[in-house]
Amino acid sequence: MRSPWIFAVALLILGLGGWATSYYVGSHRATALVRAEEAELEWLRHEFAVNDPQFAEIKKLHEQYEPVCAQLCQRVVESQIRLETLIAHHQEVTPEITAALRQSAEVKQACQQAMLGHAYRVSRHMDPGQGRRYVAIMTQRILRPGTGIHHTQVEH
Amino acid sequence: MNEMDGLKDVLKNWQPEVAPPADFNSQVWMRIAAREEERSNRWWNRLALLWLQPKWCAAVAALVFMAAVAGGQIQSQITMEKNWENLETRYLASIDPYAHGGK
Repeated sequence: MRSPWIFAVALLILGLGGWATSYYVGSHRATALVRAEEAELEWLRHEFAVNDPQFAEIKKLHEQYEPVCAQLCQRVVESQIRLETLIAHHQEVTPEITAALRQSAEVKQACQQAMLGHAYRVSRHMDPGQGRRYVAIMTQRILRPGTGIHHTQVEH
Repeated sequence: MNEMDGLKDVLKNWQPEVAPPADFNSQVWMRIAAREEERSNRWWNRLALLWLQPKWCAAVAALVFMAAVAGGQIQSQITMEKNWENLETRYLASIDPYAHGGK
């Protein structure tokens, strides 16, 4: 009666081996991408079939955009803090709160404008079809931020 | 102590007067055989014994291997999709000033 158990163990090893090999072969590309240094840009390269010269230009644009993005981020944080402080210290909508809300909306608009501008610039360095697809995806995320992108909470 | 020795002697020399039935041995063997048969009739035993037949053995191994490979493929697809979405979110976060706020 020992043979069935030996065979069962052999089957288990065979099954686990087959599963592990198949899983590794199937997922190692994406896993390697996630671990890459500039993983997000690598995603862009693979998702939109960007070649090396195009990628070099896109990377340059991305680096140029970073300080702009950081500056806007600072404005977002400041306007948010100002608005929340005013709301906490008043019991009704005051002209100050109205102004702060307007300022917050202006910052949001500036962010959307900057992101859209960046998306257009990046798309020009892609093949036309891929560029249109990229802009379409970015536009959707810029205009409807809740559809996939998870905005992190602004820390006070 | 003498009493205990006496008892031991009596027990040593005592012979049971009741004779075992004539088919005692065959009854014992029949019960053993019945129990063995009952055990080998259990479904997992029958299944286990089926594996030992060479034709089924190879088929079962092939089936398990194929199922494992298919399972690994499905799982890797799920992981890849998850990783891909994660990278997309990271890219979008890298160009979104609102997301930068949390960095």
